[in-house]
Amino acid sequence: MKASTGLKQIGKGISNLWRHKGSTIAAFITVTIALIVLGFFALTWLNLLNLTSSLLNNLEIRAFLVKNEPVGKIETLSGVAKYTFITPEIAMKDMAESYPLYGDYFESVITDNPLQASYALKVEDTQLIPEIVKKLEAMPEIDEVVYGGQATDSLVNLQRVVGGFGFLLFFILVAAILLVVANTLRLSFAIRKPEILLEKLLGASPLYIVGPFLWEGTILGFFSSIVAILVILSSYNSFTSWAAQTMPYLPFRSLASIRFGLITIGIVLGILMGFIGSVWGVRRYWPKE
Amino acid sequence: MVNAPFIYLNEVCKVYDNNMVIKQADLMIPRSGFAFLLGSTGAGKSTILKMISGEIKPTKGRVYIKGQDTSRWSKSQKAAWRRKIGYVFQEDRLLSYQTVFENVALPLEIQEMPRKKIKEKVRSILKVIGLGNRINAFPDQLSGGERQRVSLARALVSNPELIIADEPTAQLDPQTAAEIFNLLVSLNRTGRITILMATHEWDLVERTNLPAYFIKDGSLLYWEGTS
Repeated sequence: MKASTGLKQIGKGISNLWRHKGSTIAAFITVTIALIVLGFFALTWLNLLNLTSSLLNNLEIRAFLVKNEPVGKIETLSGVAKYTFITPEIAMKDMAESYPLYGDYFESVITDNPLQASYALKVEDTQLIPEIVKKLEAMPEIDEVVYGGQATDSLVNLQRVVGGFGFLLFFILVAAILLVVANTLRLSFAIRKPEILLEKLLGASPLYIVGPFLWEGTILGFFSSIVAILVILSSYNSFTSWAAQTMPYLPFRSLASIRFGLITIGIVLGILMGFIGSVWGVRRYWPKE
Repeated sequence: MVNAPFIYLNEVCKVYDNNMVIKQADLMIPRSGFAFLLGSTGAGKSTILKMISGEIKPTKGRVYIKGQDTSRWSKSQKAAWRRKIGYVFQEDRLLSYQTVFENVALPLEIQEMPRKKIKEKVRSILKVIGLGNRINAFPDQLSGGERQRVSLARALVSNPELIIADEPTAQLDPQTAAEIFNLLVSLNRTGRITILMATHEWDLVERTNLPAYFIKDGSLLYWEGTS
């Protein structure tokens, strides 16, 4: 295909969008709404993941030792990101600090420190908590392992479910939206069936016939994604400002952290959806024998 | 094959869903020839025209164009052949959302002709056809006769080797029908364009004395005419 032919096809695609304003606007609104829905779903999913991760990241495993001596194999345990060895003295100091009113009492009355040495462990991946706890419990040097227990397990499971199902749901949503986009474009192309049939009859090449339609879908997808991104970004900006005032304890993703990803993925998805939707939409008109 | 007929249908048969529309058809049109294809509605005129243009394949038999067996043609060869055909239909098949200029320019756009040349050719053919002043009009702003003339201009603009006219005068008043028909005949005589015109009007065939093929019970009968 000549470059001039490609340019002509883009021109024809744009002029078709303009010429069939009614169906263009209908398709534009449908694709934009679909992308906004997808964007909000993705943001909700990301924030839910962020919330569970942030809760889990604040969790630590406490492993109480039989003897008050450091255990090397705990420090080198795989999956452990950070460890702190807490001697009975430090534990007592921490306890005294936690109860300032009774600090003197602890120091004067309790002469024989009953507290055990322990390790405070932070893990690399919160999903590993149950596995690491199991390993620690199997060590003879360890007396007791304390962690969030069932709450942590539930949180880990929730993160797994949100992560896995969210991903799956995202793709199902993409497929469903693609179907809507394809059908919308197919309907807007259907009114031009006489033109397609005439072009076929006059000996037009397949690319000549479908080229402008593919450009139309792609251009439509691009502009829809721009509008959808603007709507999502401005709404999210308002939401995070409001949430910072009313729910400061909940760790929402900042606008800055999602802006680049949202714009890039949004535009790519918009263009891809428009393109794939238009391929789907014109496939029945693809010249056969 | 210099001496081969321009169009040659050899023992062609066409069956649609167990319905044999054409039992046996033999047809031969020389280059620059004119022939009618006569038959009642549903007799199979359009089927024969579609087999000649390569839109459909015969169930049996062969279609030869300039001595070449079309069953051996690739898709692109068929498309190239269709680009050499000018079509005039009973209903004008103009695109309602395109201007007269854009409608007539379509075959040249398909041939990827440069824009400047397209403008020249379209303006020139519209002038010849008497529609030079309606270049920016839309089809719904034209009369039935004007629309059919635009359709004829679209068929002629690419200098076709063959014009397939499928009942082009059926929906026109007698005067406009005569104008369009005379235009086709003069194109054949002066422009040396091969013309195959489907019609159901026996009067027209008798009056002009041009060769005709009659479709009767799925078979083609030849009438030589007297011209």
